[in-house]
Amino acid sequence: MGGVYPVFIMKALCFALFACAFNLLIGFGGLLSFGHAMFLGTAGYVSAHAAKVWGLPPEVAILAGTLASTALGALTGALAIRRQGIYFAMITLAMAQMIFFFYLQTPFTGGEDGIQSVPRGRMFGVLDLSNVLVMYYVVLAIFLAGFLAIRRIIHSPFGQVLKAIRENEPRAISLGYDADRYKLIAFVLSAALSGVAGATKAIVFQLASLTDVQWQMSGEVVLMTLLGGMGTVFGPVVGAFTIISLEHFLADRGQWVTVITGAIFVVCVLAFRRGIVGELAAWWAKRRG
Amino acid sequence: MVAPDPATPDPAALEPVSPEVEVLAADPTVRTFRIATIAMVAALALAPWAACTRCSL
Amino acid sequence: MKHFKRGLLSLAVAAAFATGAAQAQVSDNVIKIGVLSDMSSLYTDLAGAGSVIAARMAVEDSGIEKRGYKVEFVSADHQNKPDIGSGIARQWYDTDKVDVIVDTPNSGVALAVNQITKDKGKAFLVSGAASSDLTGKACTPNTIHWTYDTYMLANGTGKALTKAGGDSWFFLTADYAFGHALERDTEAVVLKNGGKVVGKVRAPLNTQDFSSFLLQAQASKAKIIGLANAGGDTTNSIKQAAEFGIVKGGQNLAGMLMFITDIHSLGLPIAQGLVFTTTFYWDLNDQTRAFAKRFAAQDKGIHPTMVHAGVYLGADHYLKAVEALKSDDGTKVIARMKAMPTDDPLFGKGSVRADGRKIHPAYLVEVKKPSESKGPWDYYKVRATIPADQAFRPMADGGCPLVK
Repeated sequence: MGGVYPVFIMKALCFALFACAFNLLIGFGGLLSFGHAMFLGTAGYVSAHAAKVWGLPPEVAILAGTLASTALGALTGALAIRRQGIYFAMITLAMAQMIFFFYLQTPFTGGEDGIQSVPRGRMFGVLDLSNVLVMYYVVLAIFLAGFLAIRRIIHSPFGQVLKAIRENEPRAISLGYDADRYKLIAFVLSAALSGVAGATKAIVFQLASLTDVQWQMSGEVVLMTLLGGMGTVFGPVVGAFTIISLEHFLADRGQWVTVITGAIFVVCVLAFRRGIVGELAAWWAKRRG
Repeated sequence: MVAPDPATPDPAALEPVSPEVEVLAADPTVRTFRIATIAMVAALALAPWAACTRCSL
Repeated sequence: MKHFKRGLLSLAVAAAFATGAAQAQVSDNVIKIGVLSDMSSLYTDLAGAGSVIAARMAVEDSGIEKRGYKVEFVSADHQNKPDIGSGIARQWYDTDKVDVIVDTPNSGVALAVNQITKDKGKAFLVSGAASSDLTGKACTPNTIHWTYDTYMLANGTGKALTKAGGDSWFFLTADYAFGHALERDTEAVVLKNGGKVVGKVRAPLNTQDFSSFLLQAQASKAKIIGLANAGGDTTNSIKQAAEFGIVKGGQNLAGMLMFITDIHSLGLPIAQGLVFTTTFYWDLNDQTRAFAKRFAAQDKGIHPTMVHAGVYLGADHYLKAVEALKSDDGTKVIARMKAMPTDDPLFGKGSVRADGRKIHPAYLVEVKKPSESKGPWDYYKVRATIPADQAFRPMADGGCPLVK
């Protein structure tokens, strides 16, 4: 097989969708969640369980995982949007930790072994996902659907109100918008799309493990989004591909991956705060204007 | 006299809308968005077939 | 991906030579061994770089390269994350032409690689992972589990200690699936052999302060305190037990998952009196001592753990089977390895069962007092030898679908 290794791109695509979903919340809603791993992981566990134990076909398993994340998003969101800034972040982090310990203890997740050997099955009864290329194009389609949905959300009236709330919440309220409702909907949408990413990832890797619910994963998605460009449409995709490639190249360096990504984070925050895509867009605008 | 709705903040306390619109400006226009999306999709769709000799991803 | 053109080229070359050389059936003319291990975190001393050294020694000792075969190595760090480990394994099999993966401590990673290896029809030689599921309900025709497993540890330590008079137990258990499983298995063995469990306490994973748990264990007056935990939890609980004078007070600590490198880093003043089961000790006979000397010279003085010995044994037997078959087809080689008796300098003569379990004797060891030790790495007193046929779980009890 020539070309770029498909499994690698599938992983990057899942994380790109995850980062896009996260970006919907922070880039357009101005809400920094530090617990987004819980949505990725929950959907992963539920879809892996659905596919392996209940024997559901992959599309239903992914749907089940997404629904679970959506429900968790509604619950967490209802609690978290009552507070702002650091308190919002702390509530999401605390919820994510509770969810992590739940998955660590509960028997169906298999503890630190994770749910293994998840069957990929046949999508819609015809697409044999055990073929790498079929799986690849299914993942690409899922990613594109999620990506375009986010773009649509951002440019809808709903998205405009969300941006207004991000810029000046009291003014948006004074204009008659129910800010809490908008924030909650944004939170649930973000959780649902993170869920799609997590569920797809579980089917691709035939595995759901604690890595996806750990707090490090919540930090990683913040890093991807910031590096690529928070509040830009393509930023999270670029950020996710950059970070996943780095991890891939440096896999034999072990824990150095963490050090290097940390250093990149510092450089990014200090030197180019708009992220890769944000800086490029600003440079382009300046050249033209 | 009707008491003001507590959910409505005092207009005097309102700050002007933040002039910081750089992040919004970073959003590609519809045309660039379409071009960029098509380029991205094409690149991803062809990636497993791309015969790149030196990429060691 | 890596080696795209080279892949095509070597395919062509392999086709051209298909009827000629002795290594005709060996894919792309190379036996490629992937050492997938923990290279940077808690298992790095007991497996890690040492496993690469052990596999290389097996290749040297077999002399297979002199007979026209080419052997290559790759190694990678799975960071103890099943998703990273499975990603590496997939890539090795799909694009890097790896024929066999060895070692792989961390049961989660090993179970993931186990499945991928089966799907790809390659070979997986497990040494570092503990889960007895690998030869139980998750067994495959492509995996052999060499060194030890959780059942053997629980059974060996539980049975031998209870029979030797340690008939009252208190468990200090790490509060997650692995700890629960170890506690449950060990408790069953203790009860079956006429012992009793006077108490148990569950400590959260990665506990820093074990004092309240250890005080309960001390107050229970149990003869044996079973540590159903692993890694940092085990070493922390042992250190703190030494501070409380638990061993000096006449109670014995029984570790479930201990390696000689753990004892080395704890030091004898702290680890003395600890009892546990191992399947390999470098100071057993002349051959193991010679192996340890060569090994230590290459691995910064670290003496081989049972995991390293298992990697050596696995690679040794694998190469013999490849040569006998003149093929490196994973499924066929594993089938051949199960059919052939094993014979290597470290474990002696032995065999691999149909469920993929290699069986050999196990040793119940006690850590020496500092006054008894002649120097670094002279740490164990062998208290009992458990014969091969009793050390491991009977094949019928494992639920392996291959043996039905």
